Amino acid sequence: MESLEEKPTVEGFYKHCDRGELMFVECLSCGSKFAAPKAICGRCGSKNVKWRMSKGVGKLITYTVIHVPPLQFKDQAPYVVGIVELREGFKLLSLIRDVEPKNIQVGMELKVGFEKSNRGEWPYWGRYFFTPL
Amino acid sequence: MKLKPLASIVSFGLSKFGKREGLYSRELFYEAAQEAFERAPNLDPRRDVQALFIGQMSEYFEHQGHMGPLAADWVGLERVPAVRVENACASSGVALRCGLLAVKSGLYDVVMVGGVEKMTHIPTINNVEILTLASDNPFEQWNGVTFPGLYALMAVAHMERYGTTEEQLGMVAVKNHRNGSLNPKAHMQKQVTLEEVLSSKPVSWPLKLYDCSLITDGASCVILTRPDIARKFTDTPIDILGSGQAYDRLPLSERESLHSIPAAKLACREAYQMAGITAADVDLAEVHDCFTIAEIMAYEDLGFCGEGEGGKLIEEGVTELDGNIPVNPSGGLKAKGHPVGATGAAQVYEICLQLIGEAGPRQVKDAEVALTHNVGGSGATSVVHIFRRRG
Repeated sequence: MESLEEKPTVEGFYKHCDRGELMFVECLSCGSKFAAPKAICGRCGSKNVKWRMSKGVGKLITYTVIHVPPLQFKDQAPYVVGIVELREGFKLLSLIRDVEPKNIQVGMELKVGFEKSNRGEWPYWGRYFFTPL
Repeated sequence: MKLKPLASIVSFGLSKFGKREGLYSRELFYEAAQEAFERAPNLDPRRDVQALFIGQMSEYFEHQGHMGPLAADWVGLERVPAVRVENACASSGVALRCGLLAVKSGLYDVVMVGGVEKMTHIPTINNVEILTLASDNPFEQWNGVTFPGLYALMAVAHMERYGTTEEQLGMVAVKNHRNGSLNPKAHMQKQVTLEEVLSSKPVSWPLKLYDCSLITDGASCVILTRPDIARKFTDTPIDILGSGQAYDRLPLSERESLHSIPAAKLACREAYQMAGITAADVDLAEVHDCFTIAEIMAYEDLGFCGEGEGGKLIEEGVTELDGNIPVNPSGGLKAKGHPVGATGAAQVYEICLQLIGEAGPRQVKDAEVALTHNVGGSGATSVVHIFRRRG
């Protein structure tokens, strides 16, 4: 798995998304893996953390169908949001697209996709999402 | 049980909860404060109250920040230190803890804590938007989730793991609406049937309209003193025996568990240890039922039943008014309403009424030890307090 020398940041995470790359952080001290690009490992407190690039494949561990949306999603409801556990071992909350709500199942295999943002800057990042594998 | 309390409650007040048209939150706080001042005629607010800690979740509802001094001014306190506390829906539970720390430190003898929120004057979609601010912006809000959505994710995880059913969730709503119908200050005093809950329109599947707490206007307050001077102000002080608070990561996806609230377990353990009690000693509780699944998880996190047994507990009626551990006799956030910043101290208000035997038709018999459980966001803040009626 690729290791990158740049310092993990939230902006960096979304800039990678713009390039079609899903990043996560691995703690080289305790081995835990997490999506939020924090400078300190949430489990052991080590600062020895590094970017990794995910293959973007995982399974759905829980989901919901949102009927009452926030403002920026008001034209999309109902839509599906879930938590995905990636094969590398980290979890991410995401929109789940291209699946009928009645066909969704916990445990289903998903792969990451990316939408281009027309702005690409805070707070209008290009989003990641997941679709059935 | 510990004999030495951390602090004592000598008075408490609550505004009517509901759609309070034509009033600002400062005026609702005045309503709550007036009740508290009238309950303690020996207390002179201007002379005796030395600090104010007030919970308010968001300045976006009324376009009003700097709530600490504003609230102090509108209830007529002398120029005391006045602090706004913000921990999402746990704001005034945490304000209580701040007041407790202030008294326990010896710095003040008498402090006022409370909470406010005015929500019903703006459209639902704006409420959804403001409440969602309590979740992680780049990793949750940006990905379309809402608060009903986050609790729905927990509900599905709970259902998958333990076989909890939509009917069991619905029973929480039925119970709390029944209790709320006995509470004249509750937002909704109408009972609902399980069929009505199950057929209500979906908000974030599996959570439906009647699984969700209410968008409500309201204010709450409590006056705390050093335990040794409490009798100067009331014949029926309520002692605070334990206080626990913990945080967790904001993004739900980064928690150790999706089917419980780990921070609530930690806060609860700290509060039980401080009070020297166990779950078996609790006579009644007000818990954070922002969604029906939240009450089911609270039963488990507080040790009222084993993990995964919350659905069974509601089914067996253990948490009904006449059950073994009545939960949310006030009607809870579900029926009494959830003006987010006011909720934590409003839970304490109900506990005080119950412990002094003034809860009317919803009075729990022979209650001596009680608990409040207040959760911020999807569980990144949890705060638990233990109370006892002084004999």
